[in-house]
Amino acid sequence: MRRDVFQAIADPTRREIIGMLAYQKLNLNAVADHFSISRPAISKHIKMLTECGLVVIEQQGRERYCTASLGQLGEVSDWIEQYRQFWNTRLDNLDKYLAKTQKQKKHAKRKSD
Amino acid sequence: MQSASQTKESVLTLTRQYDYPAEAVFNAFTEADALAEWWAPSDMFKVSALSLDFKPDGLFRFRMDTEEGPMWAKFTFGNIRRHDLIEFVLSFTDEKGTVTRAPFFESWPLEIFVRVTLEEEGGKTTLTLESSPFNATQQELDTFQQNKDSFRQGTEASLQRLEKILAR
Repeated sequence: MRRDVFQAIADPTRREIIGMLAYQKLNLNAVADHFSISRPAISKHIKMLTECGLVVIEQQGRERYCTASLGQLGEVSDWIEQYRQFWNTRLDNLDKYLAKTQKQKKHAKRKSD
Repeated sequence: MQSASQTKESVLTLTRQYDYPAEAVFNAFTEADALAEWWAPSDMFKVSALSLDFKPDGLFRFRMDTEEGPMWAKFTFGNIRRHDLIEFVLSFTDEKGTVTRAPFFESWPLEIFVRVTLEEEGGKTTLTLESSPFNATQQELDTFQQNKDSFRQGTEASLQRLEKILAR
């Protein structure tokens, strides 16, 4: 199955995990304790994040620590910038479209008055 | 739609104010010709609506003719509330409407969830657009989970029936 960084950030829980790990290295239990959902569900999310290359798990003694590997997120920020422009263009167009159609509507209304 | 899991802070949020009533802004999303007109980023780029079924789970399919060739895409509508809420998942597709990776864009999610909310005050409308990559994988997982649960329920029901038979 294709794994990409967008799948990693598509889920709000995974976005939150990335946010937590961006500031500090945490062991798996500490990550799981932060959420009300089940531990296996959190493990699944972390597995996906490791498959996407955003999280690295290190074994330290008996503990497994998660760290964020944020280099890949560059792809996401590039996309967000592109996507912001994508929508800005369209929302501008929507304004032009409304200006045109609403004006026509007003004219039509005035004519019929 | 699994929009419930998308409610936490989205990846991109944009806000715009339009000098028109919410109904007018809303209607720009409900008519195929209107959508085709404002969706085109410039005159260089022609958008033709192929079909529009404006209702939850309904589709808006369209074709874009660019210098680099034609592209197809679709909206799959989610929750809709007249004049203040429109949700849809945006996907690039092939000619037949099957979801594909975005052509000509190297880094682009497979599908994108978009929620548009409208708030009217004094004849002006504030549009808020929230958007995140759409979690098709999670949806597949959820479907799997549901199937698994119904399988288990089915199994339990059979076991109970078996117990009853054995208890006779």
